Amino acid sequence: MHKSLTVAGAVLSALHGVAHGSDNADRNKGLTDLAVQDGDFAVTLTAPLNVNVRNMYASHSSHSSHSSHASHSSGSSGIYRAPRDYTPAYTPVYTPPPPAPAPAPAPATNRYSPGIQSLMSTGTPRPSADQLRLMIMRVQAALYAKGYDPGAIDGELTESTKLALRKFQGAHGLVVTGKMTTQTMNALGVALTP
Amino acid sequence: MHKLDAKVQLDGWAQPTLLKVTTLPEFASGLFPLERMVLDLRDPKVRTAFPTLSRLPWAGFVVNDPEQAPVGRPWVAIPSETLNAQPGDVIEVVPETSKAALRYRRGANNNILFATERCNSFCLMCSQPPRDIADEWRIKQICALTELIDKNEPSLTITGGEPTLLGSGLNCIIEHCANVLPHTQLHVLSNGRNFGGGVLASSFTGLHPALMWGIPLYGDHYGLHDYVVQSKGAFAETMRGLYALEAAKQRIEIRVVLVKPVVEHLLALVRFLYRNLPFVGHVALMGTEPTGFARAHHDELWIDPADMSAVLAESVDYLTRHDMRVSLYNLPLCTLPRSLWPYARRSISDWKQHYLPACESCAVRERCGGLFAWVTPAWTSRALKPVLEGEEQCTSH
Repeated sequence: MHKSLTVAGAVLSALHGVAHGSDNADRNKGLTDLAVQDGDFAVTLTAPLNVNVRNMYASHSSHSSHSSHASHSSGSSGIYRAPRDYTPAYTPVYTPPPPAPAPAPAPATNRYSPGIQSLMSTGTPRPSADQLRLMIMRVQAALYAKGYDPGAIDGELTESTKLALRKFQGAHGLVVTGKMTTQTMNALGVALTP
Repeated sequence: MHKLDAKVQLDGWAQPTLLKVTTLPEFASGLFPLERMVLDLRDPKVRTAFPTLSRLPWAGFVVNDPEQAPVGRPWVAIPSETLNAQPGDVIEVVPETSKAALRYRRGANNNILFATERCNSFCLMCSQPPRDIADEWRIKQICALTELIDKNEPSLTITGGEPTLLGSGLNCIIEHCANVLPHTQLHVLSNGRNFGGGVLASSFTGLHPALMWGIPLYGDHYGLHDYVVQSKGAFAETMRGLYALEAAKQRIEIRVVLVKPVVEHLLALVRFLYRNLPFVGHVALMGTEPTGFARAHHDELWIDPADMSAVLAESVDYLTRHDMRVSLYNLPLCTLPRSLWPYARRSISDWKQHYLPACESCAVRERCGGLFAWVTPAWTSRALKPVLEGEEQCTSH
């Protein structure tokens, strides 16, 4: 954005030069080129954290939403079973850190039976239970750091957490949903991509 | 002045490790891997949330007191009187020497990436005397460090030594910066001597979106430049390097350290810059940092800033009239004529910036870059005195 502004300014001044009878087209072009280069050095005032990122957490109103899918799957092939328990990676004996969790979830098409796929919005991947829990923990941490009370930082989208989200959204002029919308995540400083 | 490393108590670390100091906002951001973060238990809100947060796979914990450390997990004790490590900073813990060092400081005015201790020049006033040692390990370390630096960091400086002595390692570092910190301006301080052939220079074309080379030039004549950098043929190599960088579409800043022989020919130098290097984006005229080799060469190098006023004013005026941007670094405002104040920058890194007792009552202290922390009376100026209220508005001097 800032680059386009810088460049637009240069083009305008070039036109301004033309309008005032400047016959030095090369010079104007040179100025525009310089402005294009300068764009890289322009000061960025705001850069939203999440741009062009698909938000697979926005629709979660509670952590238990997974179990509804599980009940659907029981009627079909039973391939998908929502993992219910978060298993902390920490064990008391220190071992070298395990490789970071896969940055993006596997495409939904491979993980859900055809019967389930038809029930889901097209093309939106679903977070794994661990990913979701970690993301809720991040949101709770951000809320708590900003003076709101999400209950506990435990990865459960509890009533207190949803209430804190709504309060935060209200105080920041955002649509009050109690959900982890992209706008809310930007305002909280929580990145949607790892 | 702040310390950048200190002896600390620590346990559980197998090898030197770079770590992001983390409180709730850093955790919430999700921009850094948990396995490379240390949770800062010195923070009260983190302590409140500790029971659930502790289950995550943190690299370890920062505590005030070893007794706070969770059992069986790596920790390092950094009470505030040892080292000023703040949330967002990157520290390195070194178990072998029981030390912790600050490698990145959030909000600092000049974070550097130290590329190498080797150099092919031997400048009279070098503040960082070179050592001929194999330190290619720094390439990997710098890349690892950049991954933990805040994504909105405005600028970083790569310095040494002579960074081009890393060969393609420097390209690796710059390319890595373009990937992990695309919004951060990069400033590389090099003597430019290795760019003469043109091949090296062109390897940087398009490598980074906002890269600038800071290259020193000390005279309009080879004899003066080669004397200051104590290397025969350096002037010719640097000039060829500057043209090669320009041909490779690189941004260039010329850096001039204001030691006595250079100041005596400064006007000739700035005329030379305009006539021969009109493409440079910025000229920095810099006061000497009184450390390293400079201290041994005080008599040859020292000139009181008060005695530079006339030639500085004339040089700045010449460059400005010829559309070349110029700044003054490392010179306290009270040593400069008022007409030059708009060009003076607060250039001294905050951790080594210092004011004298006389500065207490100064009305422009907040705008002034002050002095280097290691300044001695021999390196100050007879012009040092507080600027009084009301005086700072006067532009007639």
